[in-house]
Amino acid sequence: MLSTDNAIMVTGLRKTFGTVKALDGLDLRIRHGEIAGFLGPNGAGKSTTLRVLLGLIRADPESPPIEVLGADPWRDAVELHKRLAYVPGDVNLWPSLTGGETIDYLGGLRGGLDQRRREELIERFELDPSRKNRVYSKGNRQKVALVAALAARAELFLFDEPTAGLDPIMEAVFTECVAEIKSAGGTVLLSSHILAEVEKTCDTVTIIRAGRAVEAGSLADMRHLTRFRVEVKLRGSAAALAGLEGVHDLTHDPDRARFTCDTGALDAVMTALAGIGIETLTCAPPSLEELFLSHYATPATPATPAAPDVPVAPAARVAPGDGS
Amino acid sequence: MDARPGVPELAGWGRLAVGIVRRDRLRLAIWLVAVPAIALPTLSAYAAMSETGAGGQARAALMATPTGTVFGGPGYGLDDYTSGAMIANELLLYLVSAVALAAVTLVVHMTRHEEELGRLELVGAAVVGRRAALAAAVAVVSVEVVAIGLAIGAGMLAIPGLPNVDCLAFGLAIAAVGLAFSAIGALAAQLATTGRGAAAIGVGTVGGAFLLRAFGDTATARDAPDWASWVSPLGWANRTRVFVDLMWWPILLALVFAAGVAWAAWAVAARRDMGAGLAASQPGPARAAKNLLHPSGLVWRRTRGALYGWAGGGAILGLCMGPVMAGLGDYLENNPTIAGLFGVDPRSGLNAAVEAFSAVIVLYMAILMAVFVILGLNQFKADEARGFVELELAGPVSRPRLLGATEATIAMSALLGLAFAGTTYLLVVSTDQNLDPATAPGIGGAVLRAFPGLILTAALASFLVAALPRLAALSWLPLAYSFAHAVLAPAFGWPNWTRYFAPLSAVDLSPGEAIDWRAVAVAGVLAIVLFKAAHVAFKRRDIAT
Repeated sequence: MLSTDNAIMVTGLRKTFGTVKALDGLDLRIRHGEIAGFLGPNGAGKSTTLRVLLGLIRADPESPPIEVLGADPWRDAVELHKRLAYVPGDVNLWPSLTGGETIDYLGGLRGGLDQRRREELIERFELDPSRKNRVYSKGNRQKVALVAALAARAELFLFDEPTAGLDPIMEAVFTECVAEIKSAGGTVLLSSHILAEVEKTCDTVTIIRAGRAVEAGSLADMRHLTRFRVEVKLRGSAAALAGLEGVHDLTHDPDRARFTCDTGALDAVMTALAGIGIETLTCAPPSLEELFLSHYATPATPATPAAPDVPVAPAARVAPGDGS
Repeated sequence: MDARPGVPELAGWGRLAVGIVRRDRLRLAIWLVAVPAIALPTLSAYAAMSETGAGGQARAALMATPTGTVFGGPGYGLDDYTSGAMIANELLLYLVSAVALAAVTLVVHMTRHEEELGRLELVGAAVVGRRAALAAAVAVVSVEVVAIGLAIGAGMLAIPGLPNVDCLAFGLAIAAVGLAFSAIGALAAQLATTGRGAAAIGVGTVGGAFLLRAFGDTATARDAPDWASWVSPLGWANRTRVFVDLMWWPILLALVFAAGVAWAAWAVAARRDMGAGLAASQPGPARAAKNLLHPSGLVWRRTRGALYGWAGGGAILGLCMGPVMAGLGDYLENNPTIAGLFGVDPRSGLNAAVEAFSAVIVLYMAILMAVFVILGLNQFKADEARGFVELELAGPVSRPRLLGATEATIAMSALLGLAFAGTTYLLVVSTDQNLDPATAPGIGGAVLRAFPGLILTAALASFLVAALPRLAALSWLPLAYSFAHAVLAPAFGWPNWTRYFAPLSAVDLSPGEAIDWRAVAVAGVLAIVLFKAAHVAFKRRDIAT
């Protein structure tokens, strides 16, 4: 029934707060040893999901059973928590304790930390553990929680927007740490709305919106769902492109064309373009950003195939391989 | 830095004040309604009860004892104990103390607490002066205390037999001391680094002022100068000699004091950074001590300061009251009539008086420790809201273990604190040679008799926090009742069953009375049921974010 290959197995998860449906039939499956991204806009239900997975809040009674490392997180929370570590999204720490004391206390609850790892992580995250939590910035509080979690001997790590508040250098340290977890065979669920982070660190991604998963799969799989963006200046007339298989959203002047192109049709389209005669060409590969935005910019409907009929926002950060 | 700092620094304070009133309207309304609503019927009942002649004079004789002085006032007009003199002597101090508590807690809540939650930062970033929030809070609370004072003064006009001018002075004295304490609250909010710390400084100042004037008021009986009552803002209201020989200038003194302290708060506010106290945060240990590595260690670490404060306050109460008891022997010997009120034989009369008095002292100490308990357990709710509980429960810690560690640590601390304060008192009383040494175990017994009530207080607070967190503030209600019972039941001759409505009053502490085992048993069973229910409910509910 429930597979033990999966570190996390959630189907049809519902969670209602009063009249608000925070989670509305969410599916989430993460295999052992996988680094899984969990993407969604603010209020999509990412943190709620993590808190259900931790047994801090209880799924609605009609939800099917949840399995985290083979255990029911609500019933077996204590046993389960010996094997996982968690960093909350909004880290608040006891103001009168120092960062070092906080790390030791949280470790003490688990029966002790790996001391060498503790020292090493404090060094790598450039944390001063003798300062009081009340004077730490948000980023430093985040580091305290990260060190406490990463120094734990855990099989599964749940991170809720772990790098919010970290500077780019510390973000890179965190990415390294995730890679180390992976090479040690650990499993990670990383909630984020920073696409670059997920693209860089994760094997798979689940995109959620309004309490349900709208897309899930490996990043490679997902790219198939989006189209290349092509801008071309032609020697001949662009009008001939209109009827071409796999070409969408075409706008053109007599010699200039802009369109999106199905991944599978690229070969045929390029041949056609070459036939007309290419003067300049830029072709941007699909990014997760496009997929993400396409899901966010349209009204919440369940998993329709990603159709980038929405122009990519000018603020789009990720355009790997942009040839221009 | 700025020659006329008033204008830019205050920018926007009016809008902030409106915002404060809107946000804290419930809090403001409760004090504004509750204090006059409790005060006026009580004042009216006292006035009706008072009668000149033998009864009234016997009461005056009681109020002249050190006990009467400590819990009443300096005793102006005892030789002609009119209803007005009686109200001023026996009730004014409590009204002034209540308004003082309202003032400090409200100002701290509106300033430091908000700052701690980071809300002031949002406001501060908008177009408002740096110290506008402080000014707005003090302004709102000043209006509040003046309104309370005037409501009481105006309401008293309807009580027959009280001169109108004195009624007004009575209300104004309450308002003026209220203003002094709102300024003290503002200063406390600048000195501490946390809302809890600021509240502790503020409430501690009220307690200290109460003791200081108790010391000063009893000094007259020892033929010593009563300077201490003049140093304590709580002593000033009585020093108007309202309804006896009205003087206005102590009210003026309170206003000048209020202005001075407000100025100090204003000056300190300019010298510190947002979020910081006056003293910079010192670095601490980079590693946790062994005894911090489990939940009860953390609870202890975070509450021990408060415990020392509240237990220390109880001990100071004992230290101050001890000499009063020691003096009671001489006093009764010189005043055989009053000794007769307590018992026929002056010697056994002394013991009876000491026992009755000690029961009240121990009850007050238990109330102090109950405040510690309720604050400590309500902290659990605040911790849950701030995500601390989530962090702990995300580790391999069961909910019953976490809640149980909090309950056990706080309840044990409270019992220890009470034992400490009670022992201090006992040691001081024991220095009185006139006292029968056999009285001592009785006083120790009174401390033990207060234990069940304190444990039940913890159980109730824990149940509310765990099962009905939205109603957690209700845990104060039984405590308020116990306090009201302690003050009003003897005066009005409330029937015995009225004591059973609140944990701390349920078991009679008087060493002279037989132990009410039934009440002890009921308290014990109720406590166990409530603790158990708290754990069951906490296991079943969602953890708040």
